[in-house]
Amino acid sequence: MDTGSRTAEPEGRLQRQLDAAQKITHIGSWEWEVDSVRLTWSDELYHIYGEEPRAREPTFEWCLSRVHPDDRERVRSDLVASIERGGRFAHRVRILRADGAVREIDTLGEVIRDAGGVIRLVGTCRDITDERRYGDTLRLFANVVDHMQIGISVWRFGESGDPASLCLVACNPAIDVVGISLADAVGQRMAELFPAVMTTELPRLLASVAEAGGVRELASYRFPHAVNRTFSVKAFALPDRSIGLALEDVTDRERAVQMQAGERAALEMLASGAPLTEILTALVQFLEELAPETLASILLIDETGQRLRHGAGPSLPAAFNAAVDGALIGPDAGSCGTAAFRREPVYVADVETDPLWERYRELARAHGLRACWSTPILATDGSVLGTFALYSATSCMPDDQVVELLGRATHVAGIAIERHRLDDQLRALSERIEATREDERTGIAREIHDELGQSLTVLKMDIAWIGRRLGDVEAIRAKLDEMSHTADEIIGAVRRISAELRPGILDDLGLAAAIEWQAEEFAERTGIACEMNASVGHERFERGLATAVFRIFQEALTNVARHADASRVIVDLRVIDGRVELDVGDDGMGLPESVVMRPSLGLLGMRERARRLGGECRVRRREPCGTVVSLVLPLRPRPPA
Amino acid sequence: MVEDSVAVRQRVVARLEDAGLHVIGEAGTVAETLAFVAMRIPDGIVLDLQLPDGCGLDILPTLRVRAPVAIIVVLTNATRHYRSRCVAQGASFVFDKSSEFDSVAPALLGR
Repeated sequence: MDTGSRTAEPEGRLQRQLDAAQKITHIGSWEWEVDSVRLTWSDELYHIYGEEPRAREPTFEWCLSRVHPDDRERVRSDLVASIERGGRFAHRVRILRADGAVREIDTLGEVIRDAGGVIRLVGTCRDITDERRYGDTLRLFANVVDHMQIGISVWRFGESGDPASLCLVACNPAIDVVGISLADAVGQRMAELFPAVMTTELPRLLASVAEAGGVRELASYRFPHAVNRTFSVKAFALPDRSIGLALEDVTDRERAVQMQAGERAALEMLASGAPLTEILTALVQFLEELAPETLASILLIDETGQRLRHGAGPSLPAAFNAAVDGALIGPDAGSCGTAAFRREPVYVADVETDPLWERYRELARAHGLRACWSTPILATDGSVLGTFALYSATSCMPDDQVVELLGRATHVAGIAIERHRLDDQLRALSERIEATREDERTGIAREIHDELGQSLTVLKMDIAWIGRRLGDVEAIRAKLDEMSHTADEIIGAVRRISAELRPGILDDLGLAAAIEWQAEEFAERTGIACEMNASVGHERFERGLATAVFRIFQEALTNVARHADASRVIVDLRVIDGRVELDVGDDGMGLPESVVMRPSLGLLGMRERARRLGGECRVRRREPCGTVVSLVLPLRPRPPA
Repeated sequence: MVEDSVAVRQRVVARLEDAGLHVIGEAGTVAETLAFVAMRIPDGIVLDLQLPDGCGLDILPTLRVRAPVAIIVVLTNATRHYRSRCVAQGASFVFDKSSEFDSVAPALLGR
């Protein structure tokens, strides 16, 4: 009894320990005497099958029925073979749990044949579904990271805790994004693998992450051994004095962002009215920055559509630019001339061998240019505006990145050129309208003055003639005086109308006299004193120039009369260094800021007129009060008389 | 007598001859004027400024040499600017064609 109870007690404890062990490890066990129908299952095995422990006595056939139909036959034949062979066996099957879930089970078993010839099978089962899934997920992540080309590496600090002591613990295959394979470098120090890196900001970042934890990032980092590429470097603290580094090559993304910034800058220049050359030069320089080791140029097609003229090429040798300027386009005219001719990109990898460069080979060689990739700049109607080209000193083709950059820059250049062309056309058109109008006014003024004026003068002379011959006929003489007076008034009106249309004084006596006369007229009409300082004598200016100065002067006076509430106007007219300068200042209340920023049509007209003649007209506040209109125009040669 | 309008010219000539002056030649252009004074030397010239082939102002200095007695400029619009410029170029007198017409003959006669 005692013995029995002593042995029963440890057995119960063993059972409890076994149960606990199975519960913790999720391993169930079973036993089967082959001759018997039934099997013995541990509680944990019931759990694995999704059953209430000991709720049923499992039979072999029932067990088999819970195996996934596709695996059933394999299990049966496996077991048969194992029993025949004896010893250990193992298999992996899918089971259908009571709740319908499919689980994957690993079974390890042994065939035991006792002395009595009884065959028993003992085994353990382990549900490996979650483990497998976790493993799959890990593999998947590793794959994703590799495919996304994110280089991951883990580094551990040595005794010193100094970044110089960091040793490579592990890395993924994608780590070669940095351009160096680290496959055999595990255990080596960062300071040995990348000595130049140790002098950059990266070690400081690693030290700070080691100290403070968390994640830190260098958004655009350049490795000293690969300065053409840009990396995003993320460093994060890991357990065990380690640091994780995630490296992503963001060169292309950064270039795209820079390209966008460049496009925006160019369009802003365009919107703010910058000269075309400035915009094109900015675009060229921008592209050179983004496509390293290239020189860029823009050529513009001339009005005949047959020749390319220099547009921008600040980095190319001036002699090369000069030699290319005016080149004819054609089916074999270098990269640019051919691109303009074919209206499609022409990428020449080697000008030494390409037949398109036959005529320009010597020139290119003299300036060390070896490859030239050119794209035509097309207008919205498809016509060629010019070409945008990149030169390289080595023989090569552009990569996809460069092709895209070139395409985008070409597009923006097209917008700028087309817009400027439209501006030029508009300007030329309005210049012609202006000139025509001035001519018509001059014609009408002369007609009125000569025809009407002369006839009236004749009439007056005739009245005088009659008067002289009348003697003392008082009443008739009085009537003739009246007629004479009326004729004077009509003559005055005719002269005024004629002068308003086109002052004869401008053509007869010149600009200075006309301005002085206009100033006096203005003073008389408005009561605003007009002070004239002219360092210009009787010299004659080119007619268009004289007209522009005079009309702008009239407009300035009109503005003073309308808005300034001024008591005095000061006019300065001078010729300095090949320019005519006119300042019209008043002591009025000055232009409101809104007018300076958003000029009226009158001011716009003055400005446009000046710009057409290659000069400028500015309106600004005058200290302490009032406004100054300043006009500067380059002198133009007078046509021979 | 230089004047491109024939109607005006006739009347001025008539007025001058009424006053006892003898008009020896008439011209309607700069070219005719220069051609005339190349052959004859008048005592005085009455000159209109706006001529079809040029401005009388430009030939004033030449005429001054050819007609030493008097050059009268007659203008259709004798403002201050025209007057002073004409005098600067050598005109002896400047008169407005319609309002000062009667002063031309006395000026030529030196009265």
